[in-house]
Order: sequence, then structure tokens, then C-alpha cells
Amino acid sequence: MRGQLRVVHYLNQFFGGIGGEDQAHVGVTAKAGAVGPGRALDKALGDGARVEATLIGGDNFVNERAEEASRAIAAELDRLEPDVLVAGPAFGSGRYGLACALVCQVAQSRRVPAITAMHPENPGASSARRGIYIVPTGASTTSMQAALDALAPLVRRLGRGETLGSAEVDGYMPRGVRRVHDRGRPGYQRALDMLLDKLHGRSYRSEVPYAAPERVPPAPPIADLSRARIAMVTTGGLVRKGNPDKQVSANAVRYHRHTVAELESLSSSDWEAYHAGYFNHLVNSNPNYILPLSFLRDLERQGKIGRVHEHIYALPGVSTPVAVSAGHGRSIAADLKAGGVDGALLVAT
Amino acid sequence: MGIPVGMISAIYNFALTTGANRVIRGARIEHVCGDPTLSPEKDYAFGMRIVTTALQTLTIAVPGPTLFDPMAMAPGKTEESAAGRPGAGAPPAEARR
Repeated sequence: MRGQLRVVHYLNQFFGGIGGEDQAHVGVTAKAGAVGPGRALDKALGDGARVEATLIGGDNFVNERAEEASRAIAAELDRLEPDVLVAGPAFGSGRYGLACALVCQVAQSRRVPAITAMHPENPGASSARRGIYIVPTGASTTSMQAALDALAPLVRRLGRGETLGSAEVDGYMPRGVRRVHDRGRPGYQRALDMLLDKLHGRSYRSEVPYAAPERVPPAPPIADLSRARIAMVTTGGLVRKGNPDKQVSANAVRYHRHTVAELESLSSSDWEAYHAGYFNHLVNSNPNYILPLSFLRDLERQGKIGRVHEHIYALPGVSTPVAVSAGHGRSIAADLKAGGVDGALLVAT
Repeated sequence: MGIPVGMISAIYNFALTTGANRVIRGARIEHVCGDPTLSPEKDYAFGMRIVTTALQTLTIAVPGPTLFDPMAMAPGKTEESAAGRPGAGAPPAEARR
């Protein structure tokens, strides 16, 4: 039986006691023992583990000079030889969360087990959760003690070289990892049991996680269409001919805004579709099938609608994670709002 | 306050189950607002029917995800009467769930 587990703790300049935003540029330093929240972590870990050292990095430094920061952290880890690294908790702080994720990745690359904690919507969690262990926390430091209490048992197990159980059982954020294991009974029997439980009104648990879609309260209707400014959005992957803006054909990381103020209709000589999810050839012969500019111009001339908004919005709506899509939607909606748009048509292929 | 959005889609059930509030049934995935198998005039009239239905949905209050089918609207009816009386003989709106 070996002695106490050696824990190295990572903090940003604020929690590390160096300073606030004015010190966010500082490089990586190491201090002996626990610092700031590390003391409470040390206590939560109990007698079997001890925070031997604390690495502190400025949030701007670690994010802006990630390679340099990674090298410095790797060197410290090689020197300190910890059994496990803990980063954060970072709560809702975006740069700190990204830094914690980076530090965990560096530790893992040095074969040091690592774990961090932050709010599930922290960019560090959304960008890196597939590769590292992240314990979900609240958005602010008020959830510090709860976060440390959740971290401590996992830290001890990782430090002992154990592999954690499933995210569901051990309480970290799902990493998208599927492990093959034997549930003891074949799927058809489990499915029939589930069905019987359902029919008898008994509680049952699906083996397929279901994320319920967000419900958005319907926007109030437009009172007078003939005075309304109408915008058009398409997920059909509409691009200018030849795709000069280099839109991707799937998994959109951004949307593209084009100006149609001077256009009566979308001509196939100037526009086409670039979308990996459907056959684009019909749209290429008539792009108005996915962005109905020609129709709206006629209705505008007839006075049925007030005005066609001068910008159109396009992206390929295929193979995009829901969270990313929601982000695009929010950005487009904010732009429409800022542009004084009263209503929008969204054409989805 | 939000901006009303009419979502035109041939796979309208996806739009409804994922929470779009004003959903308009489009033609097909490859040609949502029209039909290239029709003559140019009929193609345009068909597309216009889809688009005008979509615009009408922006003027209608909906309780939640609601499907509007351009082809369920009785021809010859004025836009106002068809859109304003969803309970009428040939309803433009078919509420799902």
C-alpha cells in the first residue's frame, strides 16, 4: 500500500490569488501546497490524498498562448509527478473553463489522470467534454463546496489508477464514449419488459437517452402584412455560384449573410446549392425553390407585403449538433431583430 | 418580443416535433417551394401558393407547433377568409398535438 496520493491542482490567476483581470496575462507558476479553493479541495479529499502543489496560469495567457502554456504545464507535471491533476472548478467562466480543459488534456498527454469541474454550458465543457472528465457545477462560486464534494471521490479513484464507471453512474458529463458490456439479458427481453412496464403504468427506464427539444413560445402574429418587413432564411445551403465564400456542405460552423437588395430573383447563373444532405441539381436550376425571393418580390410589388429585407441568411442544415444550430439561430434572430424585421420565412430542405 | 417565423419544409413532421411553431408543408426536399415537373406557369403558381400560405401563418396566432398545408386550402377562397377561420370547412391549419 502506497502513501498519500499526490494531487496537483490548477487555478487561474484569480483563484490562485495573483489578481483579477489586470493579471490575466501572467504565465504559469507553481506554488507548493494548496492555494485558495485548493485548501477546501484538500479537506474534501480526506487523509488519503494531498494537494502537493498548485499550478496557476493567467486566463488570457493560457488561451492566447496555448502552446507555450501547454509546454510550461507539461514541464511542471513532469517535475511534480502527480498521481492525478485537478483543474478548477471554473463554474461559468469561459476562459477559465477552456484553460482547465486544456490543462486536463496536457496532463492526459503526460499520462497523468485529470479531472475538472465547470458549468455544463461553459465553452470549455462544450468544446472538450469528449476528451476529458468534467464534473458539472453551478454557474457561480456559490456551488464551490458541492463541486468539490462531487470531485473528491472521483479524484481519489483516478489517482489510484482506476477507470471511472459510466457518466450516468459517476456523475461526470457524458463524453460520448460507448463501452461494450453485458447487460445479462438480450435486448428483446429488456425491450418487452419495458413495454410491459409501460402498459401497466409501472416506471421504466429507456436505454436510449432522449433530449427533449426546446419549446419556444410562439411569437405574436404580425398585424398588417402589407406594412411588414419580411426576411428569408434557408438551411438549403444556398451559395453564390462557385461558392466563393467557402461555405461547408455540412456541419455548419457559421451562417452566411448575402445582400439581395438589388435582385428581383435568384438566378441559376449566380446562385446554387452546396449541401451534403440532398440532391442539389434541381435547386441549381432554380435557387428560388429554397429561397423564395422571386415570389416575395412579386408580392412586394403587389403591396401584399411591405418590404423584402435586404439580407438573406443561408447555411447547410445537415449534421450540425443541436447546440451549434441553436447558436446560429440565436445569431440570425438577433441580426433580424437589429434589422427591424417583422417576420421571417425559413425554408428547410 | 419574438419575430414570427414560417418554416417551410417537406419533412414537416421534423419541424413540428422539434418545436417550430408555424410549419408550412413544402413540396419536396429537393424543391421545397415549387415543383419542376410542372409547367413553368403551374410551378410558379404552386410555389406562390406555398409562399403565400407561409406569409399568412405570420398573421395567425398559434398555441404551439402547428401545421399549415397549402393544398388543404380551398381554391377560390380569399386569403383572409381561409386564414382567418381555421375552423371553416376547408381548414388551412391542421393542428398536430
